[in-house]
Amino acid sequence: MSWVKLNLVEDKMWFEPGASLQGQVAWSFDSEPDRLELRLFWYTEGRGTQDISIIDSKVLEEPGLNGSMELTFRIPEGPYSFSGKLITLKWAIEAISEPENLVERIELLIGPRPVEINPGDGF
Amino acid sequence: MSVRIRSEGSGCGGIAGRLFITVFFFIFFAVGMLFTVFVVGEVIRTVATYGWDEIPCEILLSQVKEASSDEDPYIPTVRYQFEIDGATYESDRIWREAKGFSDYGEAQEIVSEYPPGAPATCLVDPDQPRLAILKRNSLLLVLVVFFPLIFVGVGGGGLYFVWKKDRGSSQKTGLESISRKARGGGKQVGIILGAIFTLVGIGIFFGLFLPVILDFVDAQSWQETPCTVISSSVRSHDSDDGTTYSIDILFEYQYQDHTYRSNRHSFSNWSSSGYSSKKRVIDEFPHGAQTWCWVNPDRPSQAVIDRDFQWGYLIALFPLVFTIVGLAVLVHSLRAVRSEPNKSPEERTSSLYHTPSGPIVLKPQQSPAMKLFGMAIFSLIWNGIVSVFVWNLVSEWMSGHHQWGLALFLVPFVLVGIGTLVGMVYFALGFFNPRPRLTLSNPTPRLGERVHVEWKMSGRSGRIEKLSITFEGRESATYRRGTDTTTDHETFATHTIIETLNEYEIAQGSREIEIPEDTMHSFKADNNSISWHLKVAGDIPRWPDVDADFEVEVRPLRARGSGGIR
Repeated sequence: MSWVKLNLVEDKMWFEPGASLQGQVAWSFDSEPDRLELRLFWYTEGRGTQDISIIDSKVLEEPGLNGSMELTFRIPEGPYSFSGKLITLKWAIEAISEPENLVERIELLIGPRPVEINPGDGF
Repeated sequence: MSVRIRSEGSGCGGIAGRLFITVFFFIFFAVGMLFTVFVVGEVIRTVATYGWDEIPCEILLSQVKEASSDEDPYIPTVRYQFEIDGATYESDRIWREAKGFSDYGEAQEIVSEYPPGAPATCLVDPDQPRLAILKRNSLLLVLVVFFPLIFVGVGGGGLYFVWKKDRGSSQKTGLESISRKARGGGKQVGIILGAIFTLVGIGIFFGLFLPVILDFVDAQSWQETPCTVISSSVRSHDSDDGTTYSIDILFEYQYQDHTYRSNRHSFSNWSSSGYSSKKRVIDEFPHGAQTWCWVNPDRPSQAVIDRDFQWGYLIALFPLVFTIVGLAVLVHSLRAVRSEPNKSPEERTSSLYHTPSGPIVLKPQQSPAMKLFGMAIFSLIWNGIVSVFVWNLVSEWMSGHHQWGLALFLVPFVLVGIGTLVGMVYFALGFFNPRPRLTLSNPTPRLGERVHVEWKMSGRSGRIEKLSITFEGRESATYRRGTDTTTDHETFATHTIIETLNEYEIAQGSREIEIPEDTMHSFKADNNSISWHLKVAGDIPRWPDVDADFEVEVRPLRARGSGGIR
């Protein structure tokens, strides 16, 4: 059975802005895949229509039936992960294969502290 | 706090859902194909006439006949004969299909091109000599085929994507990629919709209404001429929405030794509800009545009985609403696309927080002039359209037709119209209010930083009894509910900078505020945003209050580099 796995160094899920996200992607396919793409993105949930923004991506063309690769992403200055009354913003990295459309996703926490920001804090 | 999610393939929904969607898209596809085939057939037949033989022919008869139908009753009729290979043929086709006109003048102009006894050129089908015409249809018909093709595209595309097979793994666990949905399709859809709205509005305005306005303007130089009424009636037009009525007064006049006829009472030839008002008009012009009409000296077949302005002409402005809305959507979508060219991840994020230096004078979200202008435009359009229906209702009421249903239906629209007029007065009064000028020591402060706020009131600040300035953080989320787009706001933080009754402090002052570290910085996406505002509220007794909102861009903490703990 085909699979794709993402692992982060030291299983770290929280990153400060400006930090470097490091990890590894490994895969095993039953049939030759066309491509494997890794994406760093944020997305919103909540009352409003979902917004999604892909910050960075890396594409492996014809990665082969089996393999692994180191991955590195630079975390930008913002936006922070937060959860308000109307909007929640989350970060994640995804590995997507084509054509089998296997998806592996790890949710991240981006911000100055290892907790999700509540916009109402501080007042 | 952290979630790892795996998927082993994705599916496309249950069978029942697929079948329902299939039926929906199939109807689109089938109807689109039917109309496409019909239009293409017409185009082929029209193109074929361009290969027909041009044969000299003689006009035997040309006149305008009146059909019994109320729809396009004036039919130009031309009978002619021609010879092919020694055989004589007769035909009465001007075009491949018979055409009628609601405007007598238009039919008369066609007929006047073919006076009896005059030579002419007719077009004969080489395969069927009995089939002859005088005029070809326009090849612009080919543009019509794009309209049903839209339905074919939507239907066919929908069917394809519903049944598109996943290659490879047959396992369907239902988890989909989130990042795949980030296609920026919203902006492209906005561009397409905005363009369609703009083109439709312009097309309707220029095609249907601008000629009416131009005719009205031109008619002010037309010549007054005595004319005789031949017939007058109220024509009825049935449609799915009900029956509408139009005035049809056929009159005859002499101009430069020629006799003409026209059936134009005014320039608004369209039909509408309200039988009585039209009956009153035709009662003034019975058969045989002598009256005056206005004749176009450049085109004497054009004439009208009433060339005065009518409030109904304002309906011509309605398509401009589509154009204005379409242009606004188009410009907004194009700006959004242009502001996000291929950027690096750093640029994409840091461009949210531009870093000019030095103090900055903040601009209000909406100036008093914009508020007044916006309300005035909305009031003009709303009340302009509603007044046409109200006028119609009042006319019918005065002639004894009490349309209670229409009256009740119009009540909320009239109330909204009155509200807009009150709003205009409110904003007009507020236009003369003192205006706050806010200066910020740092145009884009970061979380955790201190920033200096200075205010100064222009105008007669002594009228303000109490001034309060607050620093607010706000969540905004936009979503669709049916066909409506709604934006909800939630103020998550309010910090009062000053609240004072002191007239000197009201006139001007300054304060320092500290932006907390633990809160969320400014964030803007297509549908969701976090924004920070300085709100100025000034109470003025027995007068609209001062109410101004200034957005402040709050940047994240300065990035400290790599790090973090598990």
